[in-house]
Amino acid sequence: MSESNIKEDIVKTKPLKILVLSLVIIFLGFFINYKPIYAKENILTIDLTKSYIIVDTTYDGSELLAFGISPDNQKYDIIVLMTGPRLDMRIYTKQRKAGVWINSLVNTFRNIPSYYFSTSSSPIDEIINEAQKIKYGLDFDSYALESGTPEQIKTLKIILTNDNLYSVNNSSLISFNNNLFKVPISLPSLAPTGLYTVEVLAVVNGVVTQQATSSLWVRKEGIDAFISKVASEYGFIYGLSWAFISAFIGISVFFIFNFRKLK
Amino acid sequence: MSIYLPLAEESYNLFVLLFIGLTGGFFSGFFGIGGGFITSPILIAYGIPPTFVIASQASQITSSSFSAGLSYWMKKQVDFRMAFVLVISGVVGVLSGVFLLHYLLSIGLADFAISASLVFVLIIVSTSTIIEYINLLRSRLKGIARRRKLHLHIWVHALPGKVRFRSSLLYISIWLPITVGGVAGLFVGLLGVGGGFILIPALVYLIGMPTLLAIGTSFAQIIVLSMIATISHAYINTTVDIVLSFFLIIGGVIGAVFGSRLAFFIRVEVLRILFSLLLLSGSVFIAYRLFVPPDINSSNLFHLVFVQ
Repeated sequence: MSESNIKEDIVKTKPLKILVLSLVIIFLGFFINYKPIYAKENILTIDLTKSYIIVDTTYDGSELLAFGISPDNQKYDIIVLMTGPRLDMRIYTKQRKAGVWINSLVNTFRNIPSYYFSTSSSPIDEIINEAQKIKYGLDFDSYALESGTPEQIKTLKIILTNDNLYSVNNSSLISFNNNLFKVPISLPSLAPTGLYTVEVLAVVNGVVTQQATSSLWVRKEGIDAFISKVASEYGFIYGLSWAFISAFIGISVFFIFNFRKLK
Repeated sequence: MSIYLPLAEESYNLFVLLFIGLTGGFFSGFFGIGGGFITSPILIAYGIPPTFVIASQASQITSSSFSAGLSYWMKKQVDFRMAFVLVISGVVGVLSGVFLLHYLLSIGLADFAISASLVFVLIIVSTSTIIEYINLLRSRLKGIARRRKLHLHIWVHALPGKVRFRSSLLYISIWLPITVGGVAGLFVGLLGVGGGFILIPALVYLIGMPTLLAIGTSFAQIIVLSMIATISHAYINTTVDIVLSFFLIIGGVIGAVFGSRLAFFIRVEVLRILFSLLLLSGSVFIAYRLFVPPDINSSNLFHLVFVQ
């Protein structure tokens, strides 16, 4: 092998080695200099203390905490929004017909968040304009406008508020510790099962600059999930077996309490 | 301690549910009546959706009717031929009740229909109890039981389609028990009550069956009808919540045992009158609520239903 050939080889292999070496260094460096992502400045994050809620026999609503990092809270405002699965809803009101007060259908709303919770570090109308509110789903009315009049939407909000399914809160719910924030959220037992999303928006000068989301599954598990699955999928067998079980209970009670008499 | 009802999808206090079951069972054991018309309005007032109450109540009626009715069967106080006719027509009644409820739900009138028919039921139950008591007093005052015909024959008995009911010693038109059974079935399907309050007086006074036989036969009908009501509510409306139903059954059983034991020691007749007056005032209250304008500020002026 000639000298020039060796030189050529070195020339050929050297960049490759350098490349591999630098990759290794970068890779190692990533580990050595690893900082948790939330420690980086100006990054917005949100998470919930629970990623799922299991609805079982003892379920009576749930309390959870949304928490995260906000960018410099002197400069930014944050908005936290939690919405439940979209459902159709019917509202009824009492109306007088032939002297009696009976329920009559007011409206059927389509595709409305079954749970709506929002809070912001400053009054929401002061920090963000209407167009942005609609764009980021911060205007409850905009969900309902397609299927209801403003008057009906007002009624819907009153009912949802009474059932603790709708709340637009002031800043007192958000508590800050430097740039960490936390928001307590309570979910009533009436809140339907499904996928809930929680969102945080960072707003500066009326513009949403960052956005982060997390989600929460509310689902039935265990015996309750089994019961509602069987009841909805095999209604006939479910009814039949329960009819026979209750008959059996009745017969056993009869024989237990009339045991002496029968003898 | 609260318990989550998997189909009604809301949690309620376990002890309240048990207590309501106990109350219904106690009165049914004490007075020898079905407890459905007591528990249904209380459960609805407590806030459980009426449809779940009615459907889950049906299986409670199955078990309580079995535990109370089997002794009539053992004493051969069941006219099976009559029971068969009542069941066949009752099934039609039950199914129409279930479908009617389904329809009323879809137009939001279920609450009104349930309240209105409860008023009707409570008035029938209480007035018939009072009349019964007055008759009892009258026969006591006279000292001897009035000699009566075995049963009165009126024009309805003579309608075409006459059938012989051997155990009841009757030869009457079949259309009469068919109508009676159908109406009782409608109440089972629509209201989740046993229908005994309408069936027994009808069998005794209208059809002319002996009282014990009428009670035994009505139990036979109610057992079959409530089972069919459970199945059809489960199949058509998916509203049979077995957790709710279970607590109603347990409460009902325990309450009925206590009630019937206590009835041995206490003169029931006077209490019965008080009880029927209580029911009467209950019905007046429910009726009053239908006519009174709702409070504008109250939260139940409006209500919301999720459409799944």
